Amino acid sequence: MAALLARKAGKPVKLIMTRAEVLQATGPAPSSWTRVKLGATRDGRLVAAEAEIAFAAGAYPGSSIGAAAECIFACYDIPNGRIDGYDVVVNKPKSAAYRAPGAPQVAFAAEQVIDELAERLGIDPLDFRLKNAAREGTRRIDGPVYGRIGCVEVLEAAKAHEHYHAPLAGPNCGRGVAIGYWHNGGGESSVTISVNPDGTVSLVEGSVDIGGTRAAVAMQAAEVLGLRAEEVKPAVVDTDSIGYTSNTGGSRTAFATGIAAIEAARDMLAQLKQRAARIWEVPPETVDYRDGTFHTTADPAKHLSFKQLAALLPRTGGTITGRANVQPPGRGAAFAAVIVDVAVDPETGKTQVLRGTIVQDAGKAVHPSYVEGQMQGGMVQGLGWALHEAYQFNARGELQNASLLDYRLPTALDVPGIDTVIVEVPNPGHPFGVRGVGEVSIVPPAAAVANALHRALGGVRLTSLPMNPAAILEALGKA
Amino acid sequence: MPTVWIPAPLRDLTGGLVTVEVAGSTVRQVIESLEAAYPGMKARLCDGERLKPGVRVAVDSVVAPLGMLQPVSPESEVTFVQAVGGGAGAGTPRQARMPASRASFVRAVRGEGSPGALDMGGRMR
Repeated sequence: MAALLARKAGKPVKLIMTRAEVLQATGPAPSSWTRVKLGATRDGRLVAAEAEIAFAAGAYPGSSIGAAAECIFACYDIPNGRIDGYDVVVNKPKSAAYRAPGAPQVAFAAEQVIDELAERLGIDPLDFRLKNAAREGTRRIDGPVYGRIGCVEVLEAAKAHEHYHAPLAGPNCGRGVAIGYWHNGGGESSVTISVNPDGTVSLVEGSVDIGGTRAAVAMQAAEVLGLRAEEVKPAVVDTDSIGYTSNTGGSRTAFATGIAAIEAARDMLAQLKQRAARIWEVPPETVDYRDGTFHTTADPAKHLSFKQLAALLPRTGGTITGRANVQPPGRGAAFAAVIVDVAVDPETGKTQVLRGTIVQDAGKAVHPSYVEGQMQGGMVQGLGWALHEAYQFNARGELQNASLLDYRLPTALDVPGIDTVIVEVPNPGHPFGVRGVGEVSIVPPAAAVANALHRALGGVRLTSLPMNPAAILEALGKA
Repeated sequence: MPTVWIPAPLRDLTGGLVTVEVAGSTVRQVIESLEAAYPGMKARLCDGERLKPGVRVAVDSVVAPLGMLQPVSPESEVTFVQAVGGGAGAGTPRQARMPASRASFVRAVRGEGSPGALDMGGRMR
């Protein structure tokens, strides 16, 4: 609407919504109903899987049902499968993407059935998942064959973590695990990169930074150029100032815009080698760049550091700008595993999350603390989805809890410190092995909490979200 | 010749075959070959000369950024997958035939505050 009005008025238009309007009108994640049936041999090998998934799209079709159908069994190697997904139009606001759209809902279902199956067969939950884990060469039920992935490595790291083996003392406590998958995204990205006379580099990109990508993209350029990260100065610019760049979303930015930065840096280096050749009056093919210095095989005594060459550019032909427009195909899928401990007050139904650990394959964590931030953020959102959050509609389809007082987000009091383990199984589709990290962390937490509650509640299993006090008391027959 | 992995919704056209071999050095040529061998295939995959909005093609398990123009080698495997927008809404999926039990889905999506589902005839169920 803002775009249409801006076009009509020929002026900038800013749309400001109240908090209530944001909650009423910007789209919830789709509510869902999922039926899962799994079959396994007595020694724990999955042989068949079936799922029916219905997503409430809202007033118009187009929920994330496709992603849900892709993700539901994506962590496993299952030779026979059928997945039916339905995009159901209902009289509610149109659903919208949240984080890893579609995947958390179906993981909540599938990972509980996996847990049940492991329990019935008397197999450790992580061992069961390892026995059936998807790996390179596994064909997903919807068709594609996996390349190099880190599902096994993530599960192994979870199993080796001290949390999984720590004593869990106290009544009404339980530990649960779950694993999740997200395909990550590619898309178009553009980067230009220019040398400054002082030897620093200005990098211009179009990816809005919502989690540290500005630094991660600049670091990838710095790696190619042999510079310190601080010497590459990133700027995120508007759509008039850089070539087309797709949205920041889909866990695509560190991957795709990172590749654009790498290729722009390589383009710059190629031009710098040409310049050095001109300065030295040697054939360009004799110039190479290593350890931050340009050399020529034509005269081993000649060398210039990056900074020295940068200072010479203005009077030897002008500054140099590298550029790249990419649409890289080799995005790498990501997996994450969660271990969570809970304690339930049987009188009030309140669940306290005692401890949480998340293990995630980042391919290559360019900026590890930013990666950890994404992991912890997704985990917290998953815990909120598990225990607190829901849109409440009345009989006329009107949202009843359109404020953050009534829409129960998790607070710092609800969430323990979250341990993070970054696994690195390089993505062959990226020069440094980068996989997207922003979304997969939200996929397994709700399922892990459900599996933990199953043990804390003496075998009672909750199959609806949120698993708030009212739901727990009802499940215990105390409502 | 390239191999095409046929997704389940399209196997009615191939007589149940899961994989078929057809000629082609681009995805476009592969689709034309599929149409020649299994009439009706192109209409299910394409809108005119473009892939339908809800369809993506993967060549050797990598989603092909060039779509119909993506080169295909004789050893390639071509797969057609549901388009998904990571971090954004998916494209409009193909309209599926209704399940045998419409009531089960109406029950499933009807919750507090939702009277049910509005069907294409304007009836509230």
